[in-house]
Amino acid sequence: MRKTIVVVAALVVLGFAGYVLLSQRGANTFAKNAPSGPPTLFQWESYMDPPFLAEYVAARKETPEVAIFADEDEAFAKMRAGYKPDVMGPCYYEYPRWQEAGLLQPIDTSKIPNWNKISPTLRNLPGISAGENKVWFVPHYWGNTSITYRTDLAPEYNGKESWDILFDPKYKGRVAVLEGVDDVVPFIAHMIGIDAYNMAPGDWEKVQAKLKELIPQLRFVSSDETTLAQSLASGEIVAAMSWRVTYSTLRAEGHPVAYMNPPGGIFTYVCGLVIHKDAKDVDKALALIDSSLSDEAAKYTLTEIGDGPANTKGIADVEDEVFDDLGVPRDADAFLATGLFQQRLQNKDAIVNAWTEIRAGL
Amino acid sequence: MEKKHGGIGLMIYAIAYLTFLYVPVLFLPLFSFNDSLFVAFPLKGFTTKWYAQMFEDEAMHRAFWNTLRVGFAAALASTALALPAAKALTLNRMRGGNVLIGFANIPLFVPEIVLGISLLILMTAAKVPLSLISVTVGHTLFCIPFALAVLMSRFEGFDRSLEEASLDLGESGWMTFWRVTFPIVFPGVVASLLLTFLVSFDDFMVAFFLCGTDTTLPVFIWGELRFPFKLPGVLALGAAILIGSCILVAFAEWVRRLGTTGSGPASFGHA
Amino acid sequence: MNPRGVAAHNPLLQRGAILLNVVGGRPGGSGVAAIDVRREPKPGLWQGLFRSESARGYALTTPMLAVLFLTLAAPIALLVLYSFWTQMGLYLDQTPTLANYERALGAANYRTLFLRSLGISSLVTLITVGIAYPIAYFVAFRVRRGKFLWLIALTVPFWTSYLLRVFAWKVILGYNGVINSGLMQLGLISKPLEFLLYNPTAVIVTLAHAYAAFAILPIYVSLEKIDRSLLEAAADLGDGPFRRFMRITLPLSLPGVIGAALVIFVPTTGDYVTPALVGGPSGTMIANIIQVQFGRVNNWPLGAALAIASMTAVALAAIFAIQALRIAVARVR
Repeated sequence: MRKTIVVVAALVVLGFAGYVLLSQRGANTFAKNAPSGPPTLFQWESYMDPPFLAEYVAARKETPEVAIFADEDEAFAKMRAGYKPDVMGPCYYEYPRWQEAGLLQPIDTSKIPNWNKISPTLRNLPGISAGENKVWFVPHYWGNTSITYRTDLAPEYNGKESWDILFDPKYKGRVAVLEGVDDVVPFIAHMIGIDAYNMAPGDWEKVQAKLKELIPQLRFVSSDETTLAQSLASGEIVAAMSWRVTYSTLRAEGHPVAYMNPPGGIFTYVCGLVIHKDAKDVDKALALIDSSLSDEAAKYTLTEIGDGPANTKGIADVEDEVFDDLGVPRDADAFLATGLFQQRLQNKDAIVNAWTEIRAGL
Repeated sequence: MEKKHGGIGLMIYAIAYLTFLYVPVLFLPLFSFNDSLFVAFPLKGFTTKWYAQMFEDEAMHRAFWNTLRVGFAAALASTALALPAAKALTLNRMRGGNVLIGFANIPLFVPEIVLGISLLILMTAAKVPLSLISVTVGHTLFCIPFALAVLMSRFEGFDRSLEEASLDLGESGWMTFWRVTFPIVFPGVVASLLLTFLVSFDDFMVAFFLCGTDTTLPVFIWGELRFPFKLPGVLALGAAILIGSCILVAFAEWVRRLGTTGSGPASFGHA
Repeated sequence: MNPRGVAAHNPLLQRGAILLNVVGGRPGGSGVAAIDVRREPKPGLWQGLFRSESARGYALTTPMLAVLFLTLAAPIALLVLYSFWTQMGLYLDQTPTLANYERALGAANYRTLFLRSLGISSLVTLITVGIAYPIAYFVAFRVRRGKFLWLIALTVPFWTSYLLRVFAWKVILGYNGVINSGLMQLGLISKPLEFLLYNPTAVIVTLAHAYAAFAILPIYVSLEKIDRSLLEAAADLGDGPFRRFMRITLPLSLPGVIGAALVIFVPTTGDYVTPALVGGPSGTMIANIIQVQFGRVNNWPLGAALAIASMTAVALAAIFAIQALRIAVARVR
């Protein structure tokens, strides 16, 4: 009897103490968005790392709140469900949907000192302008979509790089593609000479047929960096449609891989920063964007993440070796000027639907 | 003789089965000490840096605290809701009692994805922003059948004459509950809290739909699995969870023994 | 109406009882109180205090039922409502229509997917229950001391993150995973087997592992409940072990088997994590498509229709299977 009472008392005390402790530790998670608090940044993994926030923290003496999304559809759904961050980081092909859903506001570039360090091509991306000195979308960084392949396992492609490796019967079941339509559809369309952003009647059917032809070739469909990198490293797959970061990761670990740069060119994606329509404090949001574009942030983007920063001036003094190691063009401005940009797909909903069914092997 | 023979065969089978259960789980601790970003054999070398990475990862800490808070709240809520219901459904002769039990068990027979999406629709329709609170609501629903089952089996065989005696002696209804009923069902309450906490702690499929930007640990892990350089830290975390679970189970066993060695109400029903 | 009888046949309650046994210290599922005070309730006082037991019972269950109603019945009603609407880009057209159901049930694509999902879940259920039964039997009939230890040992792996367990299977079945590197070291194969991962088999193996505890516990409880004197009586009458098993043990443990099968079959049809991680294109299941409708595709009404259609299909399949099993066992007996 006494023992039981002791246990009851101990558990009650422990439980209560635990609860109080937890409440204090996590208090900010329930009671957030105080009116004058720091801005909230809603970003891809890695792009909320300290270097992107450093200038802001130094100037304003407060640390922005950060929230991470793993894909933009998920981010979009959350915001449509009522989540209101201040600054978000969608890519160029995605932000128009956010704009149409009324989630964004124009950004005054004259209030972003680092704006002029952004590569001219990116400052003038079609569609981002919202009038004199105003944009909907501030370019932040860019990367590529091409194929990473094992130079030792598919040596015949060395020096003769071609995306056709995806359809090579020799590597049936040993290739993989990314899962997002914004990556896979323009890519496959490009292989059969179709511009996915400007399809003539009948083109879409041809692309679908090619996608269906692709499925039996594939080991898997995934945008999961881990899966891609691990299976390339192990030789489970020989080649994969991937972003450059996959290549950088593998290369850094010493695996024999190359990132294809075939004659037809490779795709470039641009991701940027946008301000929510209901941002709590636009000044702070602008300062946060400026901080993300700083030179330090640009160097970090290149050397630590493996993407190319939009602020190409910020990486001017980085050694050539770094560029060589990453396979990133030294003259980014020139590269971007001829870039094949991933942009918004017309009729994306229908495309997504079709791809969902095709990739399930239906 | 024949019996013994069958016993040995079954014993071998049991050991094989335990191997099947444990070996996959044990790869988590194994690779959490492997000095490579890539989870593959052969092992590269021993390191504890992934644990260091785990302790430095603030986002992971936040997700961890979030999960604890949600688990704690969902465990308390579902147990508190199920306690009076379990008493009534076990001890009161009620019309339609088993229909109610059936109803309370529906969450277990609805695929989790449907629970998740239907609650998502509800939250959206009610314009409730997704947050840890919406996750807690989902988990409470999901935990009720577990809490109810544990508590009902504790109430089975509960002797109502004890309550009557207390009432006879002039105790109020509340005091009777507190001094007579509660101590007897207390082990059931602990069991229910533990089980529902674990159910909530581990749930990914419901939380995935109901999380706002504050994520619980499984949702956080799902995001991290995509990034090769985050993966080893996640493995370290998995190993830590494994050890934490074992400690929790050991604790539960300790409580049980405390309850059964004495002669107080907690040993009620111990033959 | 005897609620205790209901509890005894409810697989979930049995599962709960196990944990209670582990934690709460009430051995056996007998529900018999070993306490000397064995008085009948005093009707006068009892009824004086609680005018109607039923009414009081409802009062005690009301909070729980209210929460269940708000968080379960209402959302599912909304889900049904949604399934009759149409997604127009970012907005919802609320004119009722059957178009989503036509698409969900009419399109050959989705039919293939429904069948594939039911097939995978059925196999998972069969395998999981099949391999768990001997273990449950072992613990119930052969283990004399330390039953709780066995039960704890059998449940601990399930208290680690589900996601990580699935991920662990990826490591095992992977190209240079445990199985492949093991076989290669033994010299049995010269290059890794590719058919281990990214197909329906990988999904089945992973799910069978993930749901093992759900099979063991209900079967164990129903076996534990079997009156041993029945077996002795059968032995006295000259039945051999096999006959005893088929005529007594198996039929009497059937509630546990059915319970186990249900708590495996239903959730696995709704699992989208395992197919996404280890399934590859051919291992995609219906839940993946439903999840995509609520995420990437953003067509909630179609997702709702698919969810309701799959729930109905699962319920029908489950009822059919249970009936078939009952009849089969009755025949054997």
